[in-house]
Amino acid sequence: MALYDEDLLRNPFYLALQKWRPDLCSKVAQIHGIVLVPCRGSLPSNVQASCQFESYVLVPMEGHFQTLDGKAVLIEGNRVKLGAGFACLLSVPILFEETFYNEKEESFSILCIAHPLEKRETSEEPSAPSDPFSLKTIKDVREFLGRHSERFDKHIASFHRTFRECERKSLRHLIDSVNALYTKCLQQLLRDSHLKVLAKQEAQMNLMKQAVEMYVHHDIYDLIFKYVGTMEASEDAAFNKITRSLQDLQQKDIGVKPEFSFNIPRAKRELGQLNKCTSPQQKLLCLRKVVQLMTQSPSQRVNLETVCADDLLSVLLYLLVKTEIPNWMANLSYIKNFRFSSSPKDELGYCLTSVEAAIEYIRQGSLSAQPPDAEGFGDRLFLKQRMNLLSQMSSTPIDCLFKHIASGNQKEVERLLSQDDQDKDAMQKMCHPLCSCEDCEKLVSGRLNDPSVVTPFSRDDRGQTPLHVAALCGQASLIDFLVSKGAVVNATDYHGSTPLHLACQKGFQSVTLLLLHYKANTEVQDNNGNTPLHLACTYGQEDCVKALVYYDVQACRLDIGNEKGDTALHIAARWGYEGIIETLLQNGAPTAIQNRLKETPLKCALNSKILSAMEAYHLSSDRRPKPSEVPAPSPTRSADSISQGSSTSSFSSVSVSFRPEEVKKDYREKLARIPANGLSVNVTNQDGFSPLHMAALHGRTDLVPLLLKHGAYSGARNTSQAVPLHLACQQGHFQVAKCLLDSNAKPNKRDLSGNTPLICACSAGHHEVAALLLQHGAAINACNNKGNTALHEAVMGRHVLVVELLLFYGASVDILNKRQYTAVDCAEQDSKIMELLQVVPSCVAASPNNVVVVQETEHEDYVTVEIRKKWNPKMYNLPEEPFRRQFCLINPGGRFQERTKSWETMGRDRSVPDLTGGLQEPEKQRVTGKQNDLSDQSRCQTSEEGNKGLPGRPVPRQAVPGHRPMVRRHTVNDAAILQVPEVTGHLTTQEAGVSRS
Amino acid sequence: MAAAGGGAAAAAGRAYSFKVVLLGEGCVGKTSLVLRYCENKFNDKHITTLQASFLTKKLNIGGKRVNLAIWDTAGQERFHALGPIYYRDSNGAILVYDVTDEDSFQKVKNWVKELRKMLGNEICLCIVGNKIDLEKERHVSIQEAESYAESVGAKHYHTSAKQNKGIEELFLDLCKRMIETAQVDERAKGNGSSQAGAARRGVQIIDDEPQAQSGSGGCC
Repeated sequence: MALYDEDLLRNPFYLALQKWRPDLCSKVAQIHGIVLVPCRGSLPSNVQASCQFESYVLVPMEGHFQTLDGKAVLIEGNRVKLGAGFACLLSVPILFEETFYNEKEESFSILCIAHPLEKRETSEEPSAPSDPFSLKTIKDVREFLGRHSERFDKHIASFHRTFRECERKSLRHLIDSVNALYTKCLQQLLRDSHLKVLAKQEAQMNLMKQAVEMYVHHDIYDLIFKYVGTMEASEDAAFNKITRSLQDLQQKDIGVKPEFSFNIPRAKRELGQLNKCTSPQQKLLCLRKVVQLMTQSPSQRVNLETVCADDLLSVLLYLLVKTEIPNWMANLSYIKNFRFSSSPKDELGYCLTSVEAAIEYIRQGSLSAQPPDAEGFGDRLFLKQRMNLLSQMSSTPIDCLFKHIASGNQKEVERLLSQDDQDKDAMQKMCHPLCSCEDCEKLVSGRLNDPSVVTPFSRDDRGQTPLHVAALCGQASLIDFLVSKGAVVNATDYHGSTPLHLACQKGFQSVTLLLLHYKANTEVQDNNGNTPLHLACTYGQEDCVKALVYYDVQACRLDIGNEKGDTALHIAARWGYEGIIETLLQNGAPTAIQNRLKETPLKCALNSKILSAMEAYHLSSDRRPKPSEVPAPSPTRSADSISQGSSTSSFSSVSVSFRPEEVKKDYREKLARIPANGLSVNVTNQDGFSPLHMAALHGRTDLVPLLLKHGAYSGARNTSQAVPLHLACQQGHFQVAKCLLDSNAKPNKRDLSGNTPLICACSAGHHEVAALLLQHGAAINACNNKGNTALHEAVMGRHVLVVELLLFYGASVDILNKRQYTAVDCAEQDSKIMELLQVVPSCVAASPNNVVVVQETEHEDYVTVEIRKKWNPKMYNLPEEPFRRQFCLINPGGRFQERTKSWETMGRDRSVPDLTGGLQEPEKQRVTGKQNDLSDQSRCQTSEEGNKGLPGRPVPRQAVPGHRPMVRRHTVNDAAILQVPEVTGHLTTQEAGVSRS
Repeated sequence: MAAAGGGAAAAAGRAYSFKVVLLGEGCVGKTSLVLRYCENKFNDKHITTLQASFLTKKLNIGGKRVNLAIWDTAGQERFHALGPIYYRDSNGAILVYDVTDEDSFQKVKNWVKELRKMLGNEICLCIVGNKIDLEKERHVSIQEAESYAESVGAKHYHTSAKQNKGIEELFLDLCKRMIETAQVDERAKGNGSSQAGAARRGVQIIDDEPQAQSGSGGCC
């Protein structure tokens, strides 16, 4: 109806009416009546004076109309229905309505109808206007334009060729270029003489304009929209961060009236089609349809409410937040700036303005600030409201605890959690731990049945622990307290989220770093397969991304795929977070991994700005893309897992994949690029190999110094956690190893299999490299994950020279590996190595003491083993941490001597408790052990989850059934392995004392 | 479609397009006001949800055709900052207050200040005291309202959407003033550049006779 329009002052019928029946005109104005005017195209060539004008003037009656000559007329919707009195009962379409004011300022309405009221006139003049042509798809446009589109294609092709010149120019320049193209095509169209006549009618002219615009934009959309998206990239990223953080928003939070809820799903689906439209006109039609859908009354419910701007805006706010369109700012800019065919004041312009207002409201952060009286974080309020709701029903101790955690009330949290200490006091009041008299029984049962007791392992109805709540609300100080109370750092709620997930989602960097410090696992995947890194990328939390990546660059895995196969880079690219993308790429995030939709991160790029940034890294860091690779969701891998294959096989397989000529050429090219492109000297490929790794692997003594000179990092680790020194020692490249060690490469790094460089060298029989390592302080008795020392490996490899070298440097022959073998057990009978193993230790002064230890009686052995068992966990855990912290402090300075001193100090400190415990207080140890057992059981009763976080406790020997001796033996052997270096040191000290005396 | 011209040729007319924004507090009745003016009686029985946020009206005043676009704006206080997005490029503004509510009149004053500051003197302002059917509860005196309107170069009207009073006069007068403003702009710029000049002010004049036709002879 709105499409057709004409100037009624030039309508022959109306002119005739004014000419011959001015009395009717005056009368209709007085009564505020309606005049029916057939449209110009439907009229005969000459309107006669005998025409019955009275039939075309309507007088309003109750609920219907009556013509001046007494006939009945009904107006329903956009049709005029002829009633009693007319020759034929016709239904005539109404094209438009116009209100006329005369000189006296009296007004009447004119309805322009499709054809006259009499059927005979219709048959005489069959040229009634056709239904208005509507342009909805590009197919309609092509049909409308016909052969003219071929000439448009030439102009469009020319535009494509010259578009590159606009690449670096402003948006205004681009708008003018597109407008020029549009004008040129419109001129071409209007040269048609037939269309020139049609252009006289405003509706037809508008139709032609729209057709040209839609056709042109369809062909240049990829160019223009991509360019606009690039310019709006940062705005879109900022807007996406806001909308992603508002996903918990409910309709009532915005003020959406309940009567609109019914229509929201359909409107949302329609809005999701926005990015499939190519021209501004089509996008606007999509928006208008959204508005129509959201304000349409459900068929079953008659609703006479009017829809005002406030209602419309509220629903739009909800739709914008809930619909996943990542480029709202680009769409808004595109529609506003490239729409040439229509006035911004029409209905489509109003729809666009409403969307713009909604976007602006969201950008201003108005939604996040609700309710207006909010204080602090919204999540705290959310929890407060939730706690208030729960407290109205029945407030439980867990809810009180969580409430205090959310508000950061540490005193109350400490008070609630200190009840566990009261349990220990209760135990002391008992006659003795196993007493079952009446008073003691009452104490125990009272404690067990007290429902007000809460622990760091308590959970709410969503499976969240106190640590989850502290992480969710950014309470960093409470993280420390809860962990000190034994809270489980990697506990998961029923969504599979750990506290680290929640901290990264909400953007609390300090909490994230604290959790990482307490060994939070960064590879845990929630129910959607997301790691904490995925969530930080989804919600645009750049600080948390950096915390995760840089806390331990070597350990942070950037290639894990979630349920949809997306890596962190896929997500950051999709939402346009440039800073996050840069961080990921600089640390080796792979760009060739495909998700379940076969998309690489490059394909997910939000706009060309993001795409160009990613392509730069892609070209420089990965010359061998693997498009077929689809990452499966990775199961959580423990750092303590033992590699299935031997280290030799692992490195061999790595070696096979590279050819020397190829590597050589590749390296020269990369080195040449360093000054030109600013390429980082520490870039890595998908296997984590840096240039220094490759040079070390292939013994390039010329490249290694060059790379180190340019800042290559000698501590870089590949995916097998091997540093370049591992590779050089494995391959026996003496000069490379020497160069690395002289550049402060650390000689005791361990790879994924627990091998040190010394173990690698001895396994392969490179005695010169082994000697070099020992001279630089390599730990001679270090064990790998199989428990093998360097001596084990040398013996098994039958490397006589290496065995001799190790024995000369004091390698111990009595250390047992995981299979309970000493080095002697691994040697062949009557071999040269066996002779060395048997002869050389007798030359060492410590040998008699070892024999004495072996020859102890069974009873004494039991006592010794028990003593070691009791002390080992504490000694191993408590002193280790201060040492590591001290080590970290010393490390930046790189002072080797101070590290040596610290190591010696630790060794000396750890030997003293052993002597005291072993010699003086064996009985007290037994009593302590029993108490610990009881304590363990009580904790198990409190929470099974808590048990997972506790260190394993050895079981007393007497209680072990036949099935468990193997377990005990394993534990004992671990302890023995840990103790041997200290025992050796201790014996050496004693021997020195004896020598002096 | 062949246009069969008959009768005397009329003078070439032009159509004005005007954008009018409705401003005022949420409950002063501005929606009812505009619905009363724009409603088509024959639509009552078939559209159960009336879209009132955007309405159009075609007028013919003294032989001049006017396409009127009436934009409702979000009146809730939380949406106040979005006003500029709505009233940008407006030709007229209707500021509605409730005669029984002194606060709503104060809001109208705030809007007037903002509009004058942002849009200057080009925009035609109408200050409307609605709900005059509740005269006994009036809290804004007629004298006060009219003197204020005069002081800011606006015009004051009294309406009742409920009783359909004063609305016709309001819109007719506003259109006349907007036409007059547009004509002043046309004369000031000269005939040759009237379209360009008017476009800058947001008034769009649609010529029914394109320039391309000047060289051809059509049938009249």
